[in-house]
Amino acid sequence: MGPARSDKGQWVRGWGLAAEEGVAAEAKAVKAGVGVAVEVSAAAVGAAGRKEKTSGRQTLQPKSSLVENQDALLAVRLAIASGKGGTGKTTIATNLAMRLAHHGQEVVYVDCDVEAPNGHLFLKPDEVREYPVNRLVPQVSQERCQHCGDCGRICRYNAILCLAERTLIYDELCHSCGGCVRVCPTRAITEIPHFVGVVRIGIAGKVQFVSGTLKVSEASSPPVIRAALQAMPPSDWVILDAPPGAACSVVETLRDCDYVLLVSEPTPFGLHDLQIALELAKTLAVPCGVVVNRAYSSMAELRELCGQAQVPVLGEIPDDLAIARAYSRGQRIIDVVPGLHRTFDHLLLRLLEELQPNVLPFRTRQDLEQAIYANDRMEATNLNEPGRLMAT
Amino acid sequence: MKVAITTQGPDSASPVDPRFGRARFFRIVDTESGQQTTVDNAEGMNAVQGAGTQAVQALARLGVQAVLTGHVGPKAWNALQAAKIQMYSVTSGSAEAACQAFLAGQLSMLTPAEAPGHA
Repeated sequence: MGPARSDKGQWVRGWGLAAEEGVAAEAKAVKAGVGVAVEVSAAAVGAAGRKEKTSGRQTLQPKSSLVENQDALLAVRLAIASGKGGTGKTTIATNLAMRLAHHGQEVVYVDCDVEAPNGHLFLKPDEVREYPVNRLVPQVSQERCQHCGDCGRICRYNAILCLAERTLIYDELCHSCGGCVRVCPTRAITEIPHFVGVVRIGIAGKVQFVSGTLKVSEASSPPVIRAALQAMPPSDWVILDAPPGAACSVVETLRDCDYVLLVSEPTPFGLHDLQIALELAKTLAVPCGVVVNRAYSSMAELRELCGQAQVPVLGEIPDDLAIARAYSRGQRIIDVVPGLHRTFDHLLLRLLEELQPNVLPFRTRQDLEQAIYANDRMEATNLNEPGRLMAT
Repeated sequence: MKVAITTQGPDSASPVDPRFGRARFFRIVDTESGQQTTVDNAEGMNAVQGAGTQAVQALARLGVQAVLTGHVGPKAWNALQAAKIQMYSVTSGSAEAACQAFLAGQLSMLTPAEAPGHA
């Protein structure tokens, strides 16, 4: 990690720099072998997380003096998930983020698929900085340990083995709950950082970019996902590119989301896994809508499934060889496939209809709608044809 | 010497369970007194993770010095070594037969190659 850079990128809002110094200091201390208890290092990047965000944003860059409700300044958290892998989550997430930024919105894209992040291939971020993510695991002082077995009894994950003369810790089974430290009567247990991955922060055009990468051989991704979420700079919109499936990494991503877009494809596998994803969203009480990728005209089964679940289909990306070609080259499809940016604008307008007023500040909604319609009118005038969005 | 045999049932006629941490029962035999007891391992069998370490913890508390089982995972392997519990290989037959074979010195010790990590 190099020295703290000057605040060139717009994502550095005062706290970013200070936090980096904090992280650097921690990293130095760890390198020097000093037993510093670093929970998730990247936690320092996000300062105190979302709470800090409101005040930081208001003092440093007030958006509107008319906004009295500070909660209104919190970003809309939108997750892009799917049951099945490879349905187009990253395609939808990256293009949607770019389109929102194009319409003047402040957007953070967070790649939460920390086991196989690929958002950077399409957003190509600059000024990328890397932060280590650690979680705490216990370490037993064999001199202090009296072999009472309390730590082994409190551990719900069987990560501590208490033998007559030795106490063994299994880092890979530990969930970093800290229970063993609390119950140890002789204070023989201290917590040391265990490196689990990195969080990268950069900027892709007008989109702020955050991405987590889990260290190969680590089994548990939620600590890295949490670190990536804590590292988010303030914005109007947060686009979370979720991992595939419906396991704990997805739950970690969808938690606290305002809305989730489920990307599906009209195939038997796609529908099967969409059903699981719909159940997950229902269980987590996150409102959701479906975006169909590689769509064709009828798709009766998919529509029936969404109808039964009372979930709207908000957009359809056509099954088009030009899209596949652009994707395979790492291009953003709205940039190279003619007319596709309108599909995304249309998706945004449908999404605005779905988002509750308490989630989306009125001003943000108004600004975005006006920007989308103004853009459409301008393009229509240039092409000498009627606006397409107005007609639909 | 106390010996633990991983079994699928609670009595000495029950077949051997080839799994260690997720065995259904442990049959504990005291080779000096001939006393036999059964330990229910339902908790270990259904553990989300760490079934092996939990089993070693239980056996170490009971003072077991050898286990007769089929396969031992890498974490349980380390744990058994640390607890100085010897591992012997049995793959079939009843608990009683396994115990007799052990006393007759016919069982071979498990080697580290028996403890492959799964992907």
